[in-house]
Amino acid sequence: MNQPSIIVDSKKPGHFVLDLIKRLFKEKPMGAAGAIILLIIILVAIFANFIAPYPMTEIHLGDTVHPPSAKYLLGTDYLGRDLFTLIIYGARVSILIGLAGTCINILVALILGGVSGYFGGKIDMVIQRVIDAWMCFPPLFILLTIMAMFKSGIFQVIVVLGLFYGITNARVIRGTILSIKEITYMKAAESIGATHIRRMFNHILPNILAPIIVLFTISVGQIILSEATLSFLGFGVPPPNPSWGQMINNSTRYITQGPWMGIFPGLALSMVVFSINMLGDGLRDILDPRLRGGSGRYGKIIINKRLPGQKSSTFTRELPEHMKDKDKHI
Amino acid sequence: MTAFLIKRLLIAIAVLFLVSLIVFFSIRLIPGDVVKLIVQDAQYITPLQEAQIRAQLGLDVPIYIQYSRWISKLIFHGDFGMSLYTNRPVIEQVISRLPITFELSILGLIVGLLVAMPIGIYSAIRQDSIGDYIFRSIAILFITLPSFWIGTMVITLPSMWWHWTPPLTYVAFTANPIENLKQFIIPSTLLGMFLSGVTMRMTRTMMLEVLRQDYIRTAWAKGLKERVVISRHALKNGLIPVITIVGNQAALLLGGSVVLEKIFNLPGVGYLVLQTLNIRDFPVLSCINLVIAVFILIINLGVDVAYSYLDPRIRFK
Repeated sequence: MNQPSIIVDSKKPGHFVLDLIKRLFKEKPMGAAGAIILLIIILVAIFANFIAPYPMTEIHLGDTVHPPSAKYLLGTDYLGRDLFTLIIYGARVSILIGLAGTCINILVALILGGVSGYFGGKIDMVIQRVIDAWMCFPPLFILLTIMAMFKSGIFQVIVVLGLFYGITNARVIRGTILSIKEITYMKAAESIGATHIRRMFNHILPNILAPIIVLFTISVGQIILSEATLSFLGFGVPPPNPSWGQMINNSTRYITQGPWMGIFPGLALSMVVFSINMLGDGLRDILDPRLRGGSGRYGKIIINKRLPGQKSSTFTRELPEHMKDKDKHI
Repeated sequence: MTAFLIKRLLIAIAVLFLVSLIVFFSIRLIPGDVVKLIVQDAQYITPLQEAQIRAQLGLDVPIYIQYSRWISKLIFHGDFGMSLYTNRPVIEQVISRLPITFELSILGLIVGLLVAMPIGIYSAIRQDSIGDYIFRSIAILFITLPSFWIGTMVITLPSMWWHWTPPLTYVAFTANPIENLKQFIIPSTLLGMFLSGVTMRMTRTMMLEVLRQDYIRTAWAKGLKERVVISRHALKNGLIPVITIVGNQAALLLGGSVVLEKIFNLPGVGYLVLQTLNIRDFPVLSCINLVIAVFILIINLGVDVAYSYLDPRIRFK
């Protein structure tokens, strides 16, 4: 190689997930920071028993509404429970609902959106109109109505939130599938007689993985936030399970005596959802080619640096091996 | 255009039918007996009263007859049924509260767009600059911050620190416009904050997409100044899709009213939802859901039509 060249797109196809993580840390430091915070919170949620300084429901009658101190890191609530302990156990509830709800959400979205987008025609028409109708209702109105009918409980919250967002997100999946259906390899697969199942699982699924990952991440945040809102309004997670939304609701009556009761759960909630959204945003930027920077970028000089030993400032792009041969033939 | 309008209208009617089905079945397909659910908190309910409620809800006939009765009453007489508690037509109760929720939502929309548009455009034309990063982080923060938490803090913390609380007794706009606006300014800003986060990102994405198109390159190649390229060429096409946000977010804006009306003590529809849920007054709830859904349907239809008017490509798809 006598001419120095920048090798673009020459990396070998590595493991998809590992590759994604590597790129996240290299290209999107904010997203990576979000991922790390999220990981820490998930670990805290899993090992809540070991991290929390007090048992979850322990009541210190002498120390109700105690300000933050060395004994009670974030103070105590109106019953004399340690706020730090409650917030840690609250993380467990939030993360559990967020992840489980999102799994249901994605599953429902995949089935509804998949059937609608893949088969098209009348069935698509019907499903789309149902989703149209569904989306006419403000999320909170319909969630509250449904929650009021079931007995409140963590399981109910998971199912209701998962179903609700699943129906809404079906549209995203459908849109992605519609665009993939148009690509030539789908026609090729059809022409060699690949079955529907094969086409769905071997050709479509791997190609909608990117939007699913983004959808999954963002949806965890949405569901955690919705759960907190429902709990704040009194229709979410029932006590004695600690939930950040419910803690903020309880704090309103005592907030002048102990503002920490409302501030800290809110901070915890905001931090979790913020880090999830940062991660989702980073992943979206990496996975969605339309948003990626690059040679088409507006208002930016494309490449203007000279590498040591390079004469001109123009970069040549080295073709991968298999393409070089083709060039010769042409 | 006429063909497009007719098609959209037919779809809207189909959706309207489905909306009515969802509203109707939402309180009838629940596991267990809705009447038992309604009376579960009441202590002195005789079987006779229970039967009365059942008859009033029309639950004593097969479900398809129930639906046809309900829908025909609704269409031909505008009769949404009676409240189980006040025994007054539910529609009166709902209509009297709609203006408050609409005022909140519209002010929220204005705040949201005013904040989001300039920032979104800036973020797009200075992609990956420091400013872009900061604004995008702020956008995510706005989407993240739970409005119920911020609302609670806004009410309580200033009262502790400066002995000041936002006005919390509702004054009608017609009675005292200035007092009324003073009361709405904080909740609508909070509502607009969430919206602006979403809109900011949408505006940025759309502008970025437009900025990469050939005709923008041509405009640059002609030697036009950046200001002209952006304002005369890019903005027009970049902002059309943003209109759809108004449609998409209408549901979120109206839904957000539940939390903010509760915190800021505004007697709107959202607050009514919470009140009726607590006393399980399901006819009122059905009425609210139906009225709001119809409004959102109309808004979306309007947005669709406006969109196709502004962007003729849509019509011929």
